[in-house]
Amino acid sequence: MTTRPAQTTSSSGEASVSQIADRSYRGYDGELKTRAARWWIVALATIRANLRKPAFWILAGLVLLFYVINGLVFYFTQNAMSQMGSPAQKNAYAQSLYQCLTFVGLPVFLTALVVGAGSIAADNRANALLVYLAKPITKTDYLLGKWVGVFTMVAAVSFLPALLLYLFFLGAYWSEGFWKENPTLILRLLGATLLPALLHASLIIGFSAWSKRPSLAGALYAGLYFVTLIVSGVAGAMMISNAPNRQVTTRAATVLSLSVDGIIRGTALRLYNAEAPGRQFREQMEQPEPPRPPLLPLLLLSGALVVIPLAAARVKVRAVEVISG
Amino acid sequence: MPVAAVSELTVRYGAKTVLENLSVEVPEGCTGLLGPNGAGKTTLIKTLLGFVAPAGGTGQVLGHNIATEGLRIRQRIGLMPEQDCHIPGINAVSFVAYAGELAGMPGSRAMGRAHEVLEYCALGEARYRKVETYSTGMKQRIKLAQALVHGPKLLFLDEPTNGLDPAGRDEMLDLIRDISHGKGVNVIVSSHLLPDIERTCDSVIVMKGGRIMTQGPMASLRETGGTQMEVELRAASEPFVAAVQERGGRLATVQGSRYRFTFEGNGLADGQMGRLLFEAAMAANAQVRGFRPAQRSLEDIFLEAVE
Repeated sequence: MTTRPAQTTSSSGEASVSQIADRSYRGYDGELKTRAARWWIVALATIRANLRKPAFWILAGLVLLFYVINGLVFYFTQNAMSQMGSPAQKNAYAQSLYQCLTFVGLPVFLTALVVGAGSIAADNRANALLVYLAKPITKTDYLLGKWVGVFTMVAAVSFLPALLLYLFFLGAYWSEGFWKENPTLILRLLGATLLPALLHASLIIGFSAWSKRPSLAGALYAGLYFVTLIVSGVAGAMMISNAPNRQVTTRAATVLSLSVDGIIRGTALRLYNAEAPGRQFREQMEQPEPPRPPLLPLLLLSGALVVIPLAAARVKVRAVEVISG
Repeated sequence: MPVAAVSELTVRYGAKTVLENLSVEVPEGCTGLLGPNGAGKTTLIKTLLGFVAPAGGTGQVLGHNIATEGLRIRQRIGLMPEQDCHIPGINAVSFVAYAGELAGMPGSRAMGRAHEVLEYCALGEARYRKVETYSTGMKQRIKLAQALVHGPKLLFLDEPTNGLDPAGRDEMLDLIRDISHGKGVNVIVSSHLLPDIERTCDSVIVMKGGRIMTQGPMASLRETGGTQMEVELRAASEPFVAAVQERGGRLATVQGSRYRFTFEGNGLADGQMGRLLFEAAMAANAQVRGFRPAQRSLEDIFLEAVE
């Protein structure tokens, strides 16, 4: 084995001679695992990279703040109502969780943009796929790792504060029969808070895979998010205004849910068995409670919004550009 | 035993055939893959790595089938691609350690090894800088480091001196030469720069238009079959050239006072050619400084092969 004089590199990139470092090459004959869960390495790296982003922590803090404030409001309202001898509100815990979910919809969406927009787009820009796919990693491993990384981050922001509020309810209202009245609430909470992570992670990964600029991927997804929200809102409002007595039909409720945000709210409404917002307004206008959108179309649409972007991303993720023709 | 071999390999991009019925064996050591732009060098590397599915033929790398054992191949090889590439947003040592983990190394070993490899590639001082801030030469070296981190048995270097200044090029070629000799690492260097191949490789494969034009150990390709002699005189001498030509020699090249003569079809041994040259020198009153059987340059080999 020969030892060459060490060359260290200055900040300007020029090499200078130094005798301190051992510059001999030693082979590596240690362990090389052929892991089944190769995607986990990619997922872990994605999570680590995103944990270093201040914007992620700001948004996570904001979501947590919403839940804390909602928990405090709930606590004081319940205390006041019990002192006044008012009857307990039906399904109050789930209703509170649903309200929080609708409040934090935007910060959770922004979290998805922060953690997901650059997940593959930045790799495309830096030709990182050549590094990844020259290692024993398939493009499915890569894509799954990226997806799990983004999903985990968004799910943490969406689910953990909700879980905290749930644990607060569990501890504070155990003696009032919280558990007996709501044995399945934790499962419903899980479904309602993980669905946003599922949808956002899949969609942003799809846009990110087709872009070389994180900002472009984020802008495209934001465009889809807000355009579908506006279009479905306008279409739903027109259906309501054309209906007899301006009643909200099931079809109108479904149309109102035909956006990313609408799917999340509509599904949560169903899962929490909650009441749509605007009860006081409806009571003043003497309008009945609007029907909830049917769950099956929402779930089918959710499935499509998960599968289609991931399939599109899979087409785009490859180590080399193959030019046909 | 060849480190890589393909047989009847055909690769098509859509309707365009890039490699056609290609059969070649890459020997152990350092092998240069030479060819003009568009010869199919990079496509051959990508096919060996499983990035491109062949339309026909078979191949193996380090004993593993390229069609079915892509992951196993990629675990045992290292690739230094032609293009700039890195994992964005992380520093050099994290990047190289991550590359090691992707190759299957345990995390702690990968980090230790990343430090070693970065020292070897002269990036020790810059290991905590983000790769985005690196100069072109440093980016080339970090690509080599990420390819070496898991101790590959075969290293593919695609245009390793691309974009380097003369000093950076020298350093890179020294690194390649060092790693490919006596370190248990076989190297395939793809380049269109003949001096790079000449300086680093023991054998060469010349490609053109998706076909192998010539291949073999550099030493045997350089041989002229004993029909050429190189003579160096004290001073250039026209009478000497005329005298050699009278004795059946044909002037091949002149470089100052250095001449190369071909003795075609004479069936002369080295000794006889030497005697003829000395006779000619005496007749022309020229002083011979030295002579030896001529060797072809890599440029000669390349031009003969592609033309």
